[in-house]
Amino acid sequence: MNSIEEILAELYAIDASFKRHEADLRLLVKRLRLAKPDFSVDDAFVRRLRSDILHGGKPKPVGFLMRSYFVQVSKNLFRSSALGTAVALVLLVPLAYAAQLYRQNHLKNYQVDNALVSLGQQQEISYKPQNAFGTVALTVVSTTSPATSTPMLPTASLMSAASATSSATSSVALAVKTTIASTTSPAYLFVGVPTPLNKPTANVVETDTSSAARSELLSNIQSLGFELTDMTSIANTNDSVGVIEVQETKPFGYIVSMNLNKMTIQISKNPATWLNRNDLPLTPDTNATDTVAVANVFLQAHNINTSNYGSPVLWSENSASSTATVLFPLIIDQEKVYNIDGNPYGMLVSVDQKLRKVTSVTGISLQRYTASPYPIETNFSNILAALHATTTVATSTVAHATSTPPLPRLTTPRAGLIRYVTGGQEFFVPGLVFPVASSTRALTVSLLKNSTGK
Amino acid sequence: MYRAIWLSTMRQLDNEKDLIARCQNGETAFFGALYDRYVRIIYSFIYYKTFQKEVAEDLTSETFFKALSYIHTVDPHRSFQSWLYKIAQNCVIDHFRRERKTEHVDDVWDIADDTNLEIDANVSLQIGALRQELSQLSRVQRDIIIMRVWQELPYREIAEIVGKSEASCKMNYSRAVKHLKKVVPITVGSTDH
Repeated sequence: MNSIEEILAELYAIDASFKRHEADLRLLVKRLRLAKPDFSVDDAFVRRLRSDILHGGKPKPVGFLMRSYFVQVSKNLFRSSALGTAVALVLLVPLAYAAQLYRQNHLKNYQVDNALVSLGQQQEISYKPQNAFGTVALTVVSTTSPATSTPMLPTASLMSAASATSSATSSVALAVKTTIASTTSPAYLFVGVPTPLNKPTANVVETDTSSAARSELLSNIQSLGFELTDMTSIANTNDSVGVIEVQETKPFGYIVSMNLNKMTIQISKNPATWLNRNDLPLTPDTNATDTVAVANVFLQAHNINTSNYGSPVLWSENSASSTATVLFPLIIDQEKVYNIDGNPYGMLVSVDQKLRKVTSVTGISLQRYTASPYPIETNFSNILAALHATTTVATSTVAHATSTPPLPRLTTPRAGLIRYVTGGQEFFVPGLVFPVASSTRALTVSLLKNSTGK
Repeated sequence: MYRAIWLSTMRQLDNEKDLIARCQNGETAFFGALYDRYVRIIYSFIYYKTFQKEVAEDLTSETFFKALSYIHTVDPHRSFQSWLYKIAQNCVIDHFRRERKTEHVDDVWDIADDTNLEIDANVSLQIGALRQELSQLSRVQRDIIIMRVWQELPYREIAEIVGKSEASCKMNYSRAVKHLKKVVPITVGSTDH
């Protein structure tokens, strides 16, 4: 916000006579600034409105008929002899672009079959009784160090501060056998505002991997609008199948992989059908805003709903290869989801910025979950004490010859769900993410108390 | 570790023209990027003129639906933000005209003396007596105060929104401050820090 000094300087520039009343003016400006109403925009409203505007009742820019014809033609050309293939390559390149332009210019108002429900449109959560998932003693205090790209494994169970000096073990499927060592020196400095935790329980969420969910995931593949070959692998799937992969053979086609254990879909370019980028006319590198827009258009065109995700952000960019990744942060039951390293977790869309094409999409979720309440630690002091007892925050790698490096400062934590994958099962556990000041690191901690379940 | 990357203002403006052009060409999916950029600032502007969360949400929704419907009318050489503001302003005016058929009311400030008016409790506490003084300003002066002091919009944008020149906006701003300086009681002995 503009400082009082900036506002006053501006007023003096407009009318120098204001300087004679500086004291009164200063107080007036202060009152005006303080009178600005505090409010927060409801994120759920923003997401809902976005979905309504972009998806609700609007014609979708997909041309089924024209695309089917084009794919059939290109399939025939691809299956011909080497000469035919060479001819096809010569013809297909301009045809591919002509078809793209045709879709853009002539098919944008073509309405898709309204019976097709977009993937992930409705997030369904089945609520179970307390502790329904058994003993869940995942209490992870972890951090990322700048030198490593993989997060640390779970190291401790959250216990009350009184028992922090005793050995603690847990030996159930979801917990890690560990010992909490006592410590007399703090590992960090907390400079933020404690998060109020008013409810004694919070939901642990598990991805629904039931047979019904698997069947729904398989049936949803048709809604994605890809021209997939060999659908018999889908028809013959049984409960023992973990991963299914089908592909498009048209130019710039995609491979669609379904992980029926994790209930996710991954889309990646089919390298055999993507022509050498150097042989194609290329656009200048797409900027960040357009990159996000390319990702949005692709998802919308393939009926992948984004209403259960937050606003997309450009997450990474590789200028050398002109590729970028857009992150759509996942939100489950109005809680943001984070990775164990404190970064938002969600759908990642990679874009070739020269071709203005999506090259992969990972983390597409069916949005089917089960949830069960578990007791959580609500005493913020206990949480901080556990962090002190178990944190191994990476410090600078620069040697400090004579002085002790300053303690990392943790700022106000964000509440949300921390994603853990253990024993092949995906869990989302209520937790806190503590950003480390002046860095991109963060600590995550699960709030679950040791609990016994079934 | 991945980082989020943000563009400079000038690049954003250039990209915005491209986004608008694509929307005008029927590629309405690109409207999402415009929505993401402006939804919160438009919501806050509407909130400052209605002081009710539910009303602000309804009018924000109306603003963006209208924006998408009429995006083909946008002049790419003018500020998209100021165009959105004008739609929002009109939505607010229409709302109050519907609510108060017999009165000439453009926003919540025009009915500051109505003790039965429902506004969010935190607003009442925060603005306090200043509400009366601000309501005595003209709508243009008040909007300039809101946009300049509370929303920190540049004069160039404010001028387009209110339909006046930058110089006129600054003059209105200084007159508003002079008026407030006269009527707003300053507590004797108060100090700022």
